[in-house]
Amino acid sequence: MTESLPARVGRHVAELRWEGLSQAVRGRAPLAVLDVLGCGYVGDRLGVHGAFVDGIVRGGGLSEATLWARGDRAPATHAALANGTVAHHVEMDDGVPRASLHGGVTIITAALAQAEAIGASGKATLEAIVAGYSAAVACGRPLVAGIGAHRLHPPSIVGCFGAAAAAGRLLGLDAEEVAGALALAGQLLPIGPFEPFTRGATAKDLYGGWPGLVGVQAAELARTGLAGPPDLLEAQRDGLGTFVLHAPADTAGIEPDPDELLNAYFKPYSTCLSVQPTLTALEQLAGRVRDPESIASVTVETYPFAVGLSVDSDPTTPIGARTSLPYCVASLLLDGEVYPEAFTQAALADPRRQALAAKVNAAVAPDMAEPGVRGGRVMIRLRDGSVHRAEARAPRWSAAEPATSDEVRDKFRRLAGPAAAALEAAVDGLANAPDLSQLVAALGQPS
Amino acid sequence: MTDGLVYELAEWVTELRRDQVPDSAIHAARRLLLDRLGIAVGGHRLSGAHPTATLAARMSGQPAATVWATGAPAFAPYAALANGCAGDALELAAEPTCAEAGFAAAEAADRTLGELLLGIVAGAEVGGYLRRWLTEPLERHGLHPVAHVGGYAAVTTAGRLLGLSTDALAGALASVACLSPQAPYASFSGGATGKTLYGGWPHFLGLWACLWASGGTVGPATALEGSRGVGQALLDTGGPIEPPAFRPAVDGWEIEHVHFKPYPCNRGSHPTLTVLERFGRPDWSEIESVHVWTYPYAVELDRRSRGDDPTAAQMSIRTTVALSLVLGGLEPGAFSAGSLADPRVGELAGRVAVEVDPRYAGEGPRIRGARVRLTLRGGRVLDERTDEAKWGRSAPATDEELMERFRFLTAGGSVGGLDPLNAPEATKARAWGAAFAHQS
Repeated sequence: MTESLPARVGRHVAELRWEGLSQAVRGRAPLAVLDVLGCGYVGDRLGVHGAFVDGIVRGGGLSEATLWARGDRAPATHAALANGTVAHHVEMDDGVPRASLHGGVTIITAALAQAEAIGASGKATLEAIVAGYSAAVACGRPLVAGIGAHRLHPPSIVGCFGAAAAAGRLLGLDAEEVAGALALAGQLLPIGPFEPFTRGATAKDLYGGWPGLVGVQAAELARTGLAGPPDLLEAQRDGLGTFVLHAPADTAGIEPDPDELLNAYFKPYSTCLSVQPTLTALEQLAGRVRDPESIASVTVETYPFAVGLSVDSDPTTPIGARTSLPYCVASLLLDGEVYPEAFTQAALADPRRQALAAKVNAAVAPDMAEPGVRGGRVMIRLRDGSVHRAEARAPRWSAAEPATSDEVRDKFRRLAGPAAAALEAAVDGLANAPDLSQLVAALGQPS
Repeated sequence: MTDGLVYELAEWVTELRRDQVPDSAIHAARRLLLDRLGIAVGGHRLSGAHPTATLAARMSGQPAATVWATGAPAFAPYAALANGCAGDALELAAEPTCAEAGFAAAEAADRTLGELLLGIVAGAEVGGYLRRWLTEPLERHGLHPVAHVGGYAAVTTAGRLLGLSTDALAGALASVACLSPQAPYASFSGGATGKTLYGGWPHFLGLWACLWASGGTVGPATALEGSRGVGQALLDTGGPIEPPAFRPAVDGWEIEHVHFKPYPCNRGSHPTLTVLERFGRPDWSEIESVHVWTYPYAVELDRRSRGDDPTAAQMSIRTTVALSLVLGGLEPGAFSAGSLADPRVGELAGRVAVEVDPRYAGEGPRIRGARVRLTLRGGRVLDERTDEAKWGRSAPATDEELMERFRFLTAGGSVGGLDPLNAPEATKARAWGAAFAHQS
């Protein structure tokens, strides 16, 4: 009988070594940490989840891990929940396309929390993060097409595996125990409908934090001997595959890739990925449309999923607006960028933004209907009759032209605000840090 | 939030008044509470402390609630998690899944037993409605219905007791809709120890959702019926759906129709065991073969069961029948590694055949029946049928039967010094919970 995927991934997680990783992935890991820290800090500054985090603080428990930008401490599970939820609000956290993973908010938050709780070294923490990404993608890849077909939110589901792997690695679980933790996480991962995103419900941000809680909890319980079913994915009639795929998951040939972190993209815009190819195309026209008042109409053609989300979106909310093509296009035209500032209540209520959004129409591009195609095409018609067109076959900072280290750092510094310097110094020194104390101290700085 | 199915449900819950609920329903809520308390304490006593009890011990914080088996305080979601998981290995718990979350919420909000019981009635109504709607697709997809939908009853009961507004409760229901575990049945059929988390996770999630909602973190109004909601995903419609009408108490109160479990195993075996009981206690060594015809889902679960450990065995009609015959019945805790290792059990299980009875395979409401034919050496045949498992709607468990089981599980007959069937409604949950510490 073929070894189950959780078993193979468990062995990979338990055996991964920093010294065996490529230089590229070792260089990428600190960048990924910076990126999600930036998201967390701007999320805190926006204050959307202040009451939520206050509740976590009141919940008490062991003072194991830091709540970013607040200095409060909480159990590792709760810290992962809080930090992941806050960081996910601005929709600028990273992603891995082939499993629709948001590793920053689901894995890195869990890893940092667990690492702080046990006094792990910086290197061990980065190892766990790398292991988490490879585990999440390996476990998520066989399921992701079915998850999407059911209109569910893949990151909220796939992230649970990564968090469990990262936490399990840090807890020193052996291969079998990691496999058990992955399977436990697979039992408890959420159904995760996409509805809260398009409808703008604040619970959508929990899709960033809940996987961290699930994963860390799964790992902690695996350490006590609890385990999920070894054939969680491959079970003939009652595994995860039989729900989203209507068949056992085909895991043959899937092996965790230690370089998976290199497949993660960073986001240049504070929006759902679905909108970003269109924004990338639109940016090409920035110099040709200087006055938004001169715009008569904007026509967008993009891939079906993006159009569908946009149609269903509620652009009157900070969360729903981030899936709205008209709103995001209008924001880019007015602001020259789409950063979290575009989704404040004031911005949402801005009559200029609303009027411009009303001029934007989106439709499915027939040549972008193939699965995996994520392009966007924009046509701006000005009042003087001139027409300007641009197209992008992929969003900015995707695999075709990934973000440079400087670009990621610039984004981080802007998002993290006054705490940026201390955070950056701590993260840059992680690989050689005996523990996370320097980072923890930096995380105590307010946003 | 004033639209959406969750709002409709929440509005009914928050407006429910005691004078709208008959005393019989309140008493039925006592019966559920009795059973759940007994199962948790009994599970701890017979199966040992569940890891979530140790986890809860590390989780202090506010609001606090009591871990029943240990009497220790814990942050409410973890107390409820531990209470729900404690007895899950016994496979005795009946829906609705709301007593544990409700008790924790009642302690947190300093409510009385009377308020808790009314909350349980409300939770049962909402949970029953959603369970009836979603169980078929959940089963079809190989998911564990109770683990997935249990959170709705839990959040309803807890939310009412925590005093959530209609808006907040609707939002909490929606959060549960978004985060309910997919809960693949493979954990049960594959014999995973993690399956016991299904007993407590709905309460854990329900309480968290209440706490988030009181701070403004809520799910969408259309979480269940929306174009990208839970309903379309489970029903494979790919678009908005029209849920069935919510008509609370139209066919009596849900809480009054709780089907308590007389046998410590998956319900798929219950009609079969009901028939076996009628045969008395035949000498297992005289049994040549056993043939079971039962309803399709029970046969499906039996076929899925794999592994020879206690968890998977509780899902196997073949093993359950064999164990029952060898032991002369099934007491809570019967599915131990030791008893399953008895070679007589395996050998007899190999002579049990299970197949679908066409009588139960038609369209329409599920009939959980079974026919059993016992062929004894010498040619004697025992052959009987039942269309309903023991303690079903036509002959529910009596108070005496539930109390007898409760006494067995608790080895004493009270928890926190009180009899759940007769404790005064004015009893404060917090005081009662504090008394648990003195009995552990």
